[in-house]
Amino acid sequence: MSRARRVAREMEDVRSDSEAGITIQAINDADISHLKGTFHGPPGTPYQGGTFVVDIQIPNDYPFKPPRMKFDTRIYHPNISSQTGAICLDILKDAWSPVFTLKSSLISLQSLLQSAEPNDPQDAEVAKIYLTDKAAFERTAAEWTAQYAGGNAGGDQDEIARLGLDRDAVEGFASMGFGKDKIIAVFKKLQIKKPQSQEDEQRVVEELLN
Amino acid sequence: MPTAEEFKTIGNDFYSNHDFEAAIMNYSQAIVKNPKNVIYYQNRAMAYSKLGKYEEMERDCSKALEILPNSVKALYYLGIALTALRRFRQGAEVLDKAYAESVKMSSALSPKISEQILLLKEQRHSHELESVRRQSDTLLTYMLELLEKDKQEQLNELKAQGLSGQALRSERQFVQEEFLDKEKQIISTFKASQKGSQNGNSAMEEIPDYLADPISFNLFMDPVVTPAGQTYERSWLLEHLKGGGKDPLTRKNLSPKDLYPNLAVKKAAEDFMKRNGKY
Repeated sequence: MSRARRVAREMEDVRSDSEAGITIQAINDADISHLKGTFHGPPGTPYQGGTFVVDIQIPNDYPFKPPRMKFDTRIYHPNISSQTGAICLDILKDAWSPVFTLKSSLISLQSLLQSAEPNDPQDAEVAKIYLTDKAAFERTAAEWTAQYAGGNAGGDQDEIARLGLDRDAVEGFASMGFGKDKIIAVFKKLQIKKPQSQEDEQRVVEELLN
Repeated sequence: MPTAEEFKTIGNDFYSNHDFEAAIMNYSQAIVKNPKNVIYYQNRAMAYSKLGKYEEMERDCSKALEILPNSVKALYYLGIALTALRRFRQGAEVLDKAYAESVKMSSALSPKISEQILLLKEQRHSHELESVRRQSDTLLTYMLELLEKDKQEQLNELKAQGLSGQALRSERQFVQEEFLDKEKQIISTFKASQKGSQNGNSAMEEIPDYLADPISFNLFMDPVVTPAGQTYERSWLLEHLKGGGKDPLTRKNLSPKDLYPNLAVKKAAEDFMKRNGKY
């Protein structure tokens, strides 16, 4: 009875806060022990534009024990199993506190997507790519977001990751006042991921001014 | 013939299968075999509660308490039965005792008991509102009857004055209209006052965060403050401290003896309950 009351209150709280972009729903209204949560991929990451579904099991001794969460949506991330969706996150394990909530947990997952911990991986394979070839990692992560999370790969951030371009280089030209779409198009045309030399840079600028 | 313990085990099986009638029969057999075991009474009490038989539940809890006067479980169940039977005053006393015993024994039932105390207060509140409303309805009916009687008297008087024809008809109409007005006024005054006592006192006021326990999300009942200055509901915090003994926010070591009652918050929460009747 106590657990049900608190979970119902938490869901009510999430419902009344539409700005957070988070939803939590019971699969079956009569049973609050099995829920599904969703949140949006954070902007400026390869997960942008995606909506991620998380399976939530509420243990009997919740909130003294953490909710059991795993991704239903397939996701490419060092701390999440690309096969099972299992999550490696301290607050869902030893670092859980009963003052945390389902909402705060989902927000923590959201920030996990923003800042991965490749040195404490759940998926060693993904973590290896993350550490050795960041561009390839971002490309795959964005592709998966588009394919499994309904992400819109047309967004410029996703495009950068999808093509494996150097984000800093693109941002650099953008800060000179060029549109990102145009910069991406030029990089594509010149077949470079980032300018390697001054000549490269000049060629990009020339193309941009065309 | 099975032993008392065997009957209890069979009863428990029926209970988990939601066959409460059969569970009760087996617990009763266990009690016949051994009338001195509180567990048989407590289990039968729970089975009775599942069937909504709160009088029987109360009787079994009382028997259990004759054998073991401070049984936390029997006190708690008795409190549930008395709440359901709307014997709120007695229920509150029993639950207070259950709570005190439970905290003393650091029983895992403490959070549930504290929640039952809040539930009792909530139900008592709506029960009181309901009876106030019923009283005022009775009074309203009575006043309307008086008014009707008065009207009839005045109408009879018109006849006695010897009026007839057009004059009588217009006088009668005047009296009828006058009384219709009065009736409307009385009814609207009553409805307004009923609405006032419901809205004015228990408007849709939400529980403010500072009166809600951050672990249970319930209104505070027995709030305690930690050395870090954070306030929690005692029983829920104690339950948390059983697993590791760390402050939920600072993660520093925290022992039950570091906790002090937060009396100001307790008062404010009681006040909220009185006004809103919810937790």
